[in-house]
Amino acid sequence: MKVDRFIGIILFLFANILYFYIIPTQTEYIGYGVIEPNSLPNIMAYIIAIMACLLVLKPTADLQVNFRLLLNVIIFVFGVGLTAYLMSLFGFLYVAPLMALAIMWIVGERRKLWLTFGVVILPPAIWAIVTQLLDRQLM
Amino acid sequence: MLDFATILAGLGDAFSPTNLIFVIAGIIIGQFVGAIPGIGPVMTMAIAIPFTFILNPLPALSLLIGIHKGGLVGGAIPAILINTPGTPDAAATALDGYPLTKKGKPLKATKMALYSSITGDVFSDLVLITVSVPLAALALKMGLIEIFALMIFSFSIIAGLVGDTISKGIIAACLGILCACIGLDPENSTPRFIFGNFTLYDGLPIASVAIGMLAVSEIFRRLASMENATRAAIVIPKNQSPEDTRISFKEYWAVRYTLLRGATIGTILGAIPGVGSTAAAFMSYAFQKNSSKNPNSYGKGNIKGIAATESANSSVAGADFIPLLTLGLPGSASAALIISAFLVQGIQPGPLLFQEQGRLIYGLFGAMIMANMVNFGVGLFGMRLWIKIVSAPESVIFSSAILLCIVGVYLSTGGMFGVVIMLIFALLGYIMNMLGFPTVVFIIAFFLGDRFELSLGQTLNILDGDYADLVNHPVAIGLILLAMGSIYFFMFKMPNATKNTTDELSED
Repeated sequence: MKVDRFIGIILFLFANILYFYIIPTQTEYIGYGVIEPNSLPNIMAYIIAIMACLLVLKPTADLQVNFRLLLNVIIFVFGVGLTAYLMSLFGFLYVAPLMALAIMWIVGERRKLWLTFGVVILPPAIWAIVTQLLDRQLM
Repeated sequence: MLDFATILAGLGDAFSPTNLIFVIAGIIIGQFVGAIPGIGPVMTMAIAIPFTFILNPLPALSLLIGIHKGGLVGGAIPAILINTPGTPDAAATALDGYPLTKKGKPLKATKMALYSSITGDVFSDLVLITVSVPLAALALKMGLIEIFALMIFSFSIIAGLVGDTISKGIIAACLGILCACIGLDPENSTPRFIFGNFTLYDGLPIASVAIGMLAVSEIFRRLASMENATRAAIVIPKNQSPEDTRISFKEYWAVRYTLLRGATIGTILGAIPGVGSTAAAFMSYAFQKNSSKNPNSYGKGNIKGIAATESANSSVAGADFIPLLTLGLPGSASAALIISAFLVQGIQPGPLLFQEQGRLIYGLFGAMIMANMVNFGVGLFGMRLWIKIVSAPESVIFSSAILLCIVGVYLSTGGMFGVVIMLIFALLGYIMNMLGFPTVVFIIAFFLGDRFELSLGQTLNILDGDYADLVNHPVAIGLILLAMGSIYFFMFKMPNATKNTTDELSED
């Protein structure tokens, strides 16, 4: 099956879940005025459903999905999310250099000069600019 | 529409030393990031927006405009030197720029790119300044129904032009509007889609969504696909003759018609929401090649090829502001980011801007003119430095960019919640891009979501159930018919047309 057809089916299901479950439970009924809180979301759900059907009927020619790259991106998202959480616990100044080191190491940077610049100089510089120059509180 | 004193006051603000510092800073940052393949001005503007919260509106906008304009100049450098465009719109520049580098004339090629870029930018800024005031006055005469119809028409054009197919563009727009529905609805002030999380009462933070989708998703993509973090250094041949390193006035004058044509194409296409600078650059290149007496010389290092593409892609920068300032409709990612900067400063873009914020608008125009001059100076003197920057390691740049994104969003949203939203939208942005759904359309729809809903409510209120009353609004009917026509065109006619054009360009 073409990827677009599969996406179309998923989006059609999403539009139905949106219309029959999410919108009714997550919007309130007002009963006056020309437009209800659920009016626009409902219109969007109709349009998504129609376009999803079109996607199934008329898919694009050759869409390649690189699952390995997607997995890498998901790992990066969770990794950065975790380090951001650690920053909120231990402070930016202590966690940010470790995060920079991890990212640079993962992508293959091994040159001592650039590692020093990216880990020892840049994160404290960002911290100093925000807290000292801009006088804003950082985690 | 505006008195002379307001115009003078605005221009005075623009040329103040403080504002000049922000313009210069923006240009330097823009040229720097433009010279690094993969970062680009859009990502940098997204990262910079949270840091502009503490600034007054004019310096904040001047900084962003500087980054945008500087990025357009900087983007040509890696395209010419290493055949890797720093920005997508510089892809066409590489067609003749890189062959010139291989011929041992990298400085000549980059200088022609700089001169052409500045020429195109100045041209479109002058057009913007000339036409925006009368257009805004015209827009003010439009009724609410006409404005709603215009928004639908704009969405149909943007959704059709950006992305794989119009169905994907429309789905992206719907998803953007749905995300804008999160929080209190603008008509009745009741909570929607908050799932018991009261932090969502104010809706999704604009900075988190913009940075997540436009910057972080791209950084993650680059990091995830990166195999070698180093690039070869660029070597500029020494002891070159002056003819190979500079552009004489005679050479510049010889390409005047090419520049004018490129700037005109870029300005016209830039004023149409969704077309973008990449299309303008390729179209200008195709026009130039077809009208040439020696078309075979293109793609082999013809200096006119660089002039055509750079004048076109840079002239989109000014023209982008025409729908943005006169109608409040952004036509590109950078324009959407400028809109978000307006919104975070508490300013609603649109035709009323000229009445309510006349001083700011003329300050903005002044800043744009000044940015062009600074862009020229920084480009001329910083060229050799930017050439060295091209080989800077992406590992350092992207790791620090991630830190800046986290810090920027944390500062603008006041906590880690915004960072979580940013990461969610980074993943969503990556998946959308991977599957061919245009994130730019999503962002534009997200920014316009509230206005779209209010406009829909006002239209329905005016019609009061009597849809036959639409007959009294012929402009609105015309715009809706145009929207339907464009959807039909993009759905059934455009795929073939696009394919043919792409084939022709790849043959070039």
